[in-house]
Amino acid sequence: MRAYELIKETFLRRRSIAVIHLIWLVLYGLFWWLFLPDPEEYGRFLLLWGGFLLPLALSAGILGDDIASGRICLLVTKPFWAGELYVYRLIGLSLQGAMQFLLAALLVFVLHTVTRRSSVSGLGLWLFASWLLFNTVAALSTSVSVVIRRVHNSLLLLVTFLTGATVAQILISNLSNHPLGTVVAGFFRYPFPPFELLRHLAKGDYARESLSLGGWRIPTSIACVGHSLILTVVYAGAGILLLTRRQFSGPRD
Amino acid sequence: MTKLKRRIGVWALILVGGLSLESWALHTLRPSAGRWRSEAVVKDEPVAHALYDQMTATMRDAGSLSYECTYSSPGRKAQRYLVWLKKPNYFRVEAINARGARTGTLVGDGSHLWIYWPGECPQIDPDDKDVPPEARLNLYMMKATPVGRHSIGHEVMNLGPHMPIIDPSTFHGYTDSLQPYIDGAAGRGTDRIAGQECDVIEVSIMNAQRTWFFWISREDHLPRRMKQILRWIGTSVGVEEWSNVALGSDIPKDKFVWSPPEGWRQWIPPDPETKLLKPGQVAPDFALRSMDKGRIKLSDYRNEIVWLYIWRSG
Repeated sequence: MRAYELIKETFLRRRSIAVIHLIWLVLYGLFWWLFLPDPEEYGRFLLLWGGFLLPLALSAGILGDDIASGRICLLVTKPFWAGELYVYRLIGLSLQGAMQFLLAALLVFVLHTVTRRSSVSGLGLWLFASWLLFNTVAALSTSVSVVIRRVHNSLLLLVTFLTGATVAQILISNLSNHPLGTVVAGFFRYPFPPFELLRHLAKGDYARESLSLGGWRIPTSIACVGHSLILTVVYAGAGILLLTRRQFSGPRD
Repeated sequence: MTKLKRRIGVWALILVGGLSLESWALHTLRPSAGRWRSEAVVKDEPVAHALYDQMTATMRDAGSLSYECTYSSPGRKAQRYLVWLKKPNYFRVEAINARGARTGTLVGDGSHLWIYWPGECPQIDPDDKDVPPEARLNLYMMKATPVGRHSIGHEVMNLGPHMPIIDPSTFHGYTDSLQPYIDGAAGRGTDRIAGQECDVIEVSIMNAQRTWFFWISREDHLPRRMKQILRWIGTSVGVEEWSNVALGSDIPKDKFVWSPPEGWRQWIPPDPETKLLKPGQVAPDFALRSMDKGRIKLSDYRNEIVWLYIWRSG
């Protein structure tokens, strides 16, 4: 019952959540209608808007609001374990993401059937990759909201990612012929949300275009999915640790 | 204490399991630097080589052949080609991009080939201000096609960004320039592609500068999938898949007929010689990636004699 209530809260905690879902669906439809993208273009759009920006929008203040209002003291009162609050909030976000992507798939299918244009082949893999990225970014954002007040967690992550991506791009392109380039690329590729790896997964690169032959289809794809899930767990673990270690005494938190 | 020990044990197990899984994932996902060329050179196996020869012979001996091939490579959009081939020297290739739009057609009527595009001629530099937009439309190319001595594969580059791994001209008796440089062919087991049982072979060329994998159908000895790995400064991978393969079917002759509609103009590629530097002209500075020294610039060799030797691998 508690789990159900906490999960339901993630859908209803702000009126803007329904509006965000609606806006995102409209954007998916408009992008398809106006640009008639091929599956890869549409998939990249989904990965960026649905996998990265949507969790930031939905998780804004997911714990920060309760901390700022003082309600967190009631929520984490023993004998309930504080980590449960985090886990159920994250599950709620993940369910929102899954629901959003299913609706996006339905929308695209309807548009494709009506217009008989473009193609939907391979879109399922893009949606799956977007959902994996959604979970990772949602976990990171939820963890950040434990320490950042109100809705600033999303804004902070957005600015950090944009800055980090720019710096990474500059460093990697300047160090392309230097041995340090591999180290820098690895630094940005593995500990942070796996945009590049999931993009390769969604494009089907792991299934067809690895260098070796024999048993090369499944292991690399599983490794990518596994890495994404482990990152989600690591981010969530950090958030749970921070939440359980913090002492909440009232509205001044 | 026992409960605490059990809890610690469970968490330790989870931690070790998670770390192992993540280590394996990172190892599997590491960017592949490519196999060492020497490891990639294939030792010839007579059985596998016979399969390769049989595939070539099947294409050469057929009276007609049609198939659909999709070529894709990482970072680039897939390109589809519809191919019809008929003896003695007829062919047609239609190029379709990832959105399903036709991007160009190549028709061989027995003595000449014709290439035409639905929109602008893609061979004209989009930044070339000397060519107005209206002059880029309704253009076609025409070339003579001596039997067995022209390459459809190279002409296909005028339709799309990818060159087929197997040159369709093999059907007409053309021999790929890479054939004399095959190191060997080796068997790599069997696989099932689109419901067809296939023998898989690996062919390396020029000391594994290039590797081909073929999934050859046991039913008609024609490929259903091919993978090409090019090892040069970087490594590039391309995959080509065949479907709707029809051997010996009756292809109507009007498939291989085309003549330019009224108002269309022949486009002749500009002579590359016109863009060469003239003696005494100052060379522009440029930088290139070296195999082992990072970036080298022409200006690094100022006041020295520089010999530019430009060669093509494969």
